Amino acid sequence: MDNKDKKNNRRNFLRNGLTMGGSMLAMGMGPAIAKDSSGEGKSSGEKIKVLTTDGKVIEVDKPKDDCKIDPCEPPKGNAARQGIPGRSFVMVIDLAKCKNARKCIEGCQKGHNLSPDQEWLNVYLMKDHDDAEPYWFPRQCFHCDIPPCVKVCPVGATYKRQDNIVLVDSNRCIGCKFCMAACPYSVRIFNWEKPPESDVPPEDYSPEASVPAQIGTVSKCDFCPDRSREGKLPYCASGCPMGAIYFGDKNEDAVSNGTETLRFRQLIKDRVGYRYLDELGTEPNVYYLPPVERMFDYKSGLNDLPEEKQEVYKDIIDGENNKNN
Amino acid sequence: MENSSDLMKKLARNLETPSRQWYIWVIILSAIVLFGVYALIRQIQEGQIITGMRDNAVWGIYTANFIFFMGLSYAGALVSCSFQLLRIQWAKPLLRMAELITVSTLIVGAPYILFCLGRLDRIHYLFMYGRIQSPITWDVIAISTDLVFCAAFLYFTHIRDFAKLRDLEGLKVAKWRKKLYAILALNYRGTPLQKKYLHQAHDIMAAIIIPTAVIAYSLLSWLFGMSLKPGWHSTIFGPYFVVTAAYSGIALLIIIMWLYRKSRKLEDYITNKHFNYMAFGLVLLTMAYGYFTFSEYITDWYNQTSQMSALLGKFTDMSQYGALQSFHVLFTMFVPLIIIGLPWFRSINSITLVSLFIVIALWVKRYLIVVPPLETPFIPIQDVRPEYVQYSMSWVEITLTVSGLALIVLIFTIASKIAPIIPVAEIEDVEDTAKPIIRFQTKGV
Amino acid sequence: MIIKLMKMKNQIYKSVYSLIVGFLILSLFGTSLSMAQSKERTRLRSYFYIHDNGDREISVLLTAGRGRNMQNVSNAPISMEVDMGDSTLFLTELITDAEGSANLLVEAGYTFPADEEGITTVLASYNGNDTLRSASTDIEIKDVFLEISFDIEDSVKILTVQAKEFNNEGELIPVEELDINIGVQRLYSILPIDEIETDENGIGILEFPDDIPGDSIGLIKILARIDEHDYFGTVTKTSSVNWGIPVSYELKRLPRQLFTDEAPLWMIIGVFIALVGAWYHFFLSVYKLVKLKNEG
Repeated sequence: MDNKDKKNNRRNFLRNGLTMGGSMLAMGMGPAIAKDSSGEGKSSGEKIKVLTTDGKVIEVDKPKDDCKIDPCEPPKGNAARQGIPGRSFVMVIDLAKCKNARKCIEGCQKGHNLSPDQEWLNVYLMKDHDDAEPYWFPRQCFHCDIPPCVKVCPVGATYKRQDNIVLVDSNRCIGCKFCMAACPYSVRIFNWEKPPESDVPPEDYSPEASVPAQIGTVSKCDFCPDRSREGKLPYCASGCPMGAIYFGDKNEDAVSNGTETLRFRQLIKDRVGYRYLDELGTEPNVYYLPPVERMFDYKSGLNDLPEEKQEVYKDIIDGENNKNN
Repeated sequence: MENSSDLMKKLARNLETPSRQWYIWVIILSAIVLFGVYALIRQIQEGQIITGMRDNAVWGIYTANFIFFMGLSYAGALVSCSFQLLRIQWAKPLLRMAELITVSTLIVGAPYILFCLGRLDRIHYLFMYGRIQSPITWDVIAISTDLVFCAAFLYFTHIRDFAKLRDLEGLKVAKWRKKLYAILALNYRGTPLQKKYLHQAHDIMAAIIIPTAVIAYSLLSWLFGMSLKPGWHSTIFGPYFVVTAAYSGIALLIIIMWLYRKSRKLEDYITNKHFNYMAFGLVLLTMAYGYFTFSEYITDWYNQTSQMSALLGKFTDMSQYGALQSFHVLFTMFVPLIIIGLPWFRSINSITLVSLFIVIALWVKRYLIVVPPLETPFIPIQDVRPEYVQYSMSWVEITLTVSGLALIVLIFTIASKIAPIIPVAEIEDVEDTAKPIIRFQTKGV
Repeated sequence: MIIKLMKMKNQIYKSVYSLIVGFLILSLFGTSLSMAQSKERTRLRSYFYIHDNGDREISVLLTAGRGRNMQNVSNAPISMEVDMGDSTLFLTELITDAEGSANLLVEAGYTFPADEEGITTVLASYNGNDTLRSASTDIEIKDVFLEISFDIEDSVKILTVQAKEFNNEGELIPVEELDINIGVQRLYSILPIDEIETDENGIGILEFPDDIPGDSIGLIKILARIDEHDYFGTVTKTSSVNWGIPVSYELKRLPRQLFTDEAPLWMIIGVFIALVGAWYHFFLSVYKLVKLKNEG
């Protein structure tokens, strides 16, 4: 009895170590496509082999990723209006690293079950003035501290939480779109038609996870608090191959892009972090590091784009070409 | 007591059993309205994807219609109520038309904001979870209040006419209508005390409707003003919208006057004098409107902030909104001043025609207020989908707009079968014993 | 891709020898061999971890192809053995998961057979199949013990880490010149603080910064980590101490503001007055009509 308890405790201890080892491996590798069939049927995926103290090999359940924030389950309904205690989520985007790989968008769309033309975050090609070099500018919801969108909501379907996050409750949204008109950063999108089928049943909907979406309601970037509860970075931050998107908790003074963790205040100080259209007084929680000492020419971001998409940037590209001639 | 009169006898003929043409007319209008209902059902079933609205231009002509019709409703608030309070005798024949405009446009206009809702099934959330901070909540409260008040005032001004109709012998209408008149007349017999009470009721309603309407329309403008969007974020929007509303309301009143004068042979009651006075008011409002429009644009144009210049650029670019803007400027400012302001072209028909163009141009103005700023956000639109870059109205939106107009006409058609379009009692029983607002008290009295 | 490889190099360590050898083989014969044979080249990499609780984990990763076409091979059997000089001790067979990796957890109490320096060599091998070639790798592993202690001297926070290993007599002796990274556990990752090196007593000292936020009572979880050592592998030791700045975990009530649920008072009062004022007049005039009706 006593021994058994001890053993269970030990198994629990194993978990923490495991997740660390596992996550280290998971990084940097391509997707698993090749498959060896000789191991077919033996692998459970859920189990891990353990060499015990007495030299026996046993198989135990591989524990799921541990919760970092209690409770791990994203809250439903009005419970989601409360922020996660002690947290103050921020994002830092290093414009010097962005080359419009658009993996952030793909990751976000996949994670939130969005259709391919629904973009919670978008990468814009910006050019500040005639002599400026264009740069790629990823834009998600800024989760403003004084959110103009929340001010105008007639039914409180979108709300500001104490942990900085601005969420939309699809179960309450009446679809008036006033928040979309009020947002100066054009981050909100509307479900004009029936959203894609989701595996998540409607009764499991949490505003933190934002799936399943509902027709006739507004949706937007939610800063993935459901993933934060599991200690995971938002889809865009973990999806960026360049590590351009850092996410973290301002109260912890740390932001991470998955490979590198930096002190938030020091980073903003050293790299002169700024906020987009800060003068509007919305107090955004997304910071940008200016695109200085860039790792890529902005043109490299155009290479993989379809022609019609390149056409969108025509004005800027033409302007650049004329400048060089 | 005999309340009926020759005038009522004459006008009441219009109220008697409707002709076949009248029925056909009502059926045609009802069909158009029903087609709008069908379009609305389609929109609810298939989602707003069948409208022209998309993620940048999240609002379209529904919102333009909403402010447009709300603006027209000003005719009643301004003309009817202020003339009632000021005891202006010559305007009495116009009062009922003005009030009908108010009530019908409010009934038709208010739902347009609802057509913008993606989830009409959750409309009760506005009351369950209403947030007082939202301009939409302000609008819901103000417009419903305004509607109730204006409908009440419309009824108040009918009471004496209902009494006359109740007492009119030989009125060939169905029995139930006679009964209805009797109920609606509220035992009014014209006793001095009754006269006093009715007058008090009139005055109180008129006095409260004027500020209510001003507030309601200012709140409407703040739907846009309370936004950081260039082109919407303007301090002048409150008064500007109020003046625009009065302007369009008076123009519509002139059109309605012309229509009834022609169709009902009311030349004796809706006279040249009325057109003359209304046209004078129209010119004043043209100048006020021009002044506001000029101040609105000149400040933005002079400062040339990058966002505003982009927007103003669209207004001057003929391939974008230049044509619409020119039409609006021409017909709300220059044409009225030339045609009505100068003596040579002035006639009842020309005044009416100009009014028609003013009404249309003011609808265009509302479109220009709603759509182009939405298409000019701070962050550039870099979208491959053309419908997301530029708004264009769909058949659903056009259908619902047309059926809204049809509904207004239908309301007029039916309302003028219930009571004479000219307030008979107002003209016949002249009440100039208005209660003074300030009572000078003498000692010892 | 270069960046990716560089990152991999940083994150995942391959034992130096096999990496160099592997690269040589790849660059010399890679092209000709793959052209001669239709079987895809595979590569097995191995990593060693010592966890906080003393448990060890051997992790292998099987990949096929090269460069841009490199893929992780899932569901492949990997046999794990201990090299005993002239013979081998079979441990178990692992199956790679969806990410192509397979892990063997070794409990803290288990002692590997080791050579005179206390180092164990573990062999991992994959036999290949119809389309994939075989691959194998070996990894040298050894236990190391880290101990973290905290002191405050003249209000300066001193963090001490001591590293020990077994010598061949089974005694714990200090490990010299060992690089240890000190970090603080954060929500998503570990925030690096500094790197220290152990002296001849196996001790490394760090003046801990004052401005690291902790939890609600200022507690922070400090990690001492040896990263990708030749035979210690990646070693992690954690310890919690209340050296952090406390962060309020209290959910503060949001103020009465335009953007919160509760409207500002002046707004509620203003709307209330306006509505009461307007509707009072409405009912007043209706009352007049009631009087009118009763009069009739």
